Amino acid sequence: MSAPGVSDVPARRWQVPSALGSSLLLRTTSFGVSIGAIAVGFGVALVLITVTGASPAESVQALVDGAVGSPAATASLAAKTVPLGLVALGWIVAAQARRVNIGLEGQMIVGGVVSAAVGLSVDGLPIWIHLPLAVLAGAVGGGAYAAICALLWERRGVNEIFSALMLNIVAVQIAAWVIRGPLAEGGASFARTGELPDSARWGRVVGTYVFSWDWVVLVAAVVVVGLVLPRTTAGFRLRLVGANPEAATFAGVRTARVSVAAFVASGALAGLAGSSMILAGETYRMTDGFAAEYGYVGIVVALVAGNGALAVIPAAVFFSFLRQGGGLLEARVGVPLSIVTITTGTVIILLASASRPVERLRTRRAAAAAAGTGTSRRRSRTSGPDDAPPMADTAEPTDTIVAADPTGAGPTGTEPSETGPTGVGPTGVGPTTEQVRT
Amino acid sequence: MSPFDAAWLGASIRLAAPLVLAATGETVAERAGVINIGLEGMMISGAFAGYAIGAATGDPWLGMLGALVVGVLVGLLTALVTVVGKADQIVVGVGLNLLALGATTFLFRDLFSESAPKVGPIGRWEVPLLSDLPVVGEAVFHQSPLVYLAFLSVPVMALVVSRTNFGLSVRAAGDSPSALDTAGVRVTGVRVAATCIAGGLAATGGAFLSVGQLGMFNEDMTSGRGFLALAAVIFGRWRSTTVMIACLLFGMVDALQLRLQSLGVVPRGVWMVVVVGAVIAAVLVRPRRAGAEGMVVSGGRGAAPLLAAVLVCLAAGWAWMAQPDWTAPTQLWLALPYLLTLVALASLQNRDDSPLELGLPYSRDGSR
Repeated sequence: MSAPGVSDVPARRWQVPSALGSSLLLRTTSFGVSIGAIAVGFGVALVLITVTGASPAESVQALVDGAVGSPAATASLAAKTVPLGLVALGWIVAAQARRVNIGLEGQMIVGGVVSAAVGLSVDGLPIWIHLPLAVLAGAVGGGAYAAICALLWERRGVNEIFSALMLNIVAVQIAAWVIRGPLAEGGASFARTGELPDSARWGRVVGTYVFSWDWVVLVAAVVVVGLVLPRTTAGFRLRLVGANPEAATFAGVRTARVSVAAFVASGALAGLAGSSMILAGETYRMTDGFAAEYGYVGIVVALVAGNGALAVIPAAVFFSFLRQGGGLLEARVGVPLSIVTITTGTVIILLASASRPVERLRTRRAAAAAAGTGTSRRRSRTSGPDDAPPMADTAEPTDTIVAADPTGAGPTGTEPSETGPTGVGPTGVGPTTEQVRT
Repeated sequence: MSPFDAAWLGASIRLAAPLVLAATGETVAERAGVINIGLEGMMISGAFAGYAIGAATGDPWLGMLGALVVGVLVGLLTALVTVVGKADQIVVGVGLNLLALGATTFLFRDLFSESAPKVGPIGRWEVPLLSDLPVVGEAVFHQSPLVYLAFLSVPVMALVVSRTNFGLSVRAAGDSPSALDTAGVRVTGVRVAATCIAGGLAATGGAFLSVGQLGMFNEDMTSGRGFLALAAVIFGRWRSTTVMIACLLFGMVDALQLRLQSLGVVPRGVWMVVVVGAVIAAVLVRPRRAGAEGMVVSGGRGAAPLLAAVLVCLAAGWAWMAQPDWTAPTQLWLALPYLLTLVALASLQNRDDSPLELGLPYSRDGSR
């Protein structure tokens, strides 16, 4: 490619995966950075608490009591983990293909709506048909909603950040309408749907505590995304497209199609989260604001987990802990619950800010390690995945070429493997050209 | 009775004013290459800061000024993270929205839990002569002075962006930062300044809602207006004037929705407007030849907008004839601006006017 300039940029540049994708999407933040961000977030919260005149020690005590002080609280904490974890997995799946799915909130809401619709409108089915049907409906709803973004991007070159933001708000309106219109409970004093029939409910695990059997869905999703996907061709293609779309295209991967699939899968996971919030919810109904911004908090969970599927569970537990404990914080000490939102927002911003310095540090270390081989090179201004050719135009004719062998070394296989993003390691086709800099 | 009268027009303008402020600032930031998803957070910060400072000083105008300052500071903070620190703009925006929503709620409950005094609102002002115009005079030219200031900001910012050196730098920072760098201008500085402008104007828009209009602050009182302004920037295709028109359009839809709530049924006039609007849109969206750079773009176009317009007309016609007493759900009208923006995005693919380096950090070695 020639010198940078206006004429270089492909007209449908939004079609290029990673046009907006950043280092945050692929590289895992280190464990230490996550802990550090959380610690600073907590510090900010404690300072604010002190400023309001409440005792920090009492506040922490209230937070802990609210989260794990009683069996009921612990069960609620565990129950919150499920949708949060599922949303975070949705982010991770899209991120592996370097797609930013900012529409998780909307996809989750639509998943919940479709799930509730199936749960409420069908009657008389046995539970082993009705419940899976309703759960599946949630996934399909979320996936279909994500497909709007993905297809608008693929067919029309619409930037999916913008379309997803628009659709998030449309989803809120859809839910508001459904609660007041088609699924409204007759004679209710405020807007809510009727109660789900027993056949569309996740059973409670212990007694009547909120924690339900839908945790099985979360564990299954973690296993699929974290353990199965890395070992399949589909997962390999996903990461290849994310790591180096140019190489993926040359390897015969239909890059655009993989990206769309990743986005839809991401939406389906968010839809599952929405379905869990209804089918295993506290009241087994849909009300206004049932999504509780989990679609955004889930992003933090994924970031704290360093985009690793297995780390999602502890990260989700932590943020459920905050949200669950925050309730008692307000009731007992009088510190507004929004302190939890403040902490969450702070952690997001800190992690985002830390991603580049961390990456720098790693790159420098890797460069030092590679100095012996003398392969350090400089990236030219316009090379790298950011400027890969438009996918829709180049993906079709190459699909007869045999896809790269997952076990074989890729074109850049001689690069030090520890510089590659986790997950792409075994293939050796990581985005090493942009990793190693002088 | 028709819902389209002078009072509706006045309400449209009033509802559009905060959008205009936020969208005008965001246009400048995006022209400089910074996507600011945190616009909603900046607006709510401004709404709270305006109220808090207004309550402390007893003067709503000081509140507005304070909101402007706080907005610039929030913009500066955002820019430090995204432009200087090169953090992902989207993720930081999400974080900022959460942080601002949490912080304003927290501070409001902490500071004003016992008593929340009423500040302002800033009174209305009659434009001399113009307010004496028949029919529209009273509705359009007897509004809060802030409304006029908001609309005044559009030509001002348009001139700044198109006619000044700074504006040239802004446009270069968004389209070709390396050229700007070569010319010896600091890309970072220009982008930081643009983000500060966005923050200041968005916060003023938020304060317009609190001290300007209501005299109170409510939790989450901007309720998605930041996203609406973001939509307006996209809908208006990054040009100050068209962005303002988009804001007005969204304001009109909002005002219409408010009126329809009280009317109950959808009057026939509304369907007529839908039909006319669809036809106009189809004409405007008529495909144009490929861009000035000679970029040849494949992809279906031509019949699609026309087909869509015909479908909309048919649906509206059907609703008109067959559903005389249909009450359109409020949510449809509330979602309409976003749906329109989506349609606009989808149909304007060949005229993608977004700044070329939108959302991408800049550094000399080309690393991202």
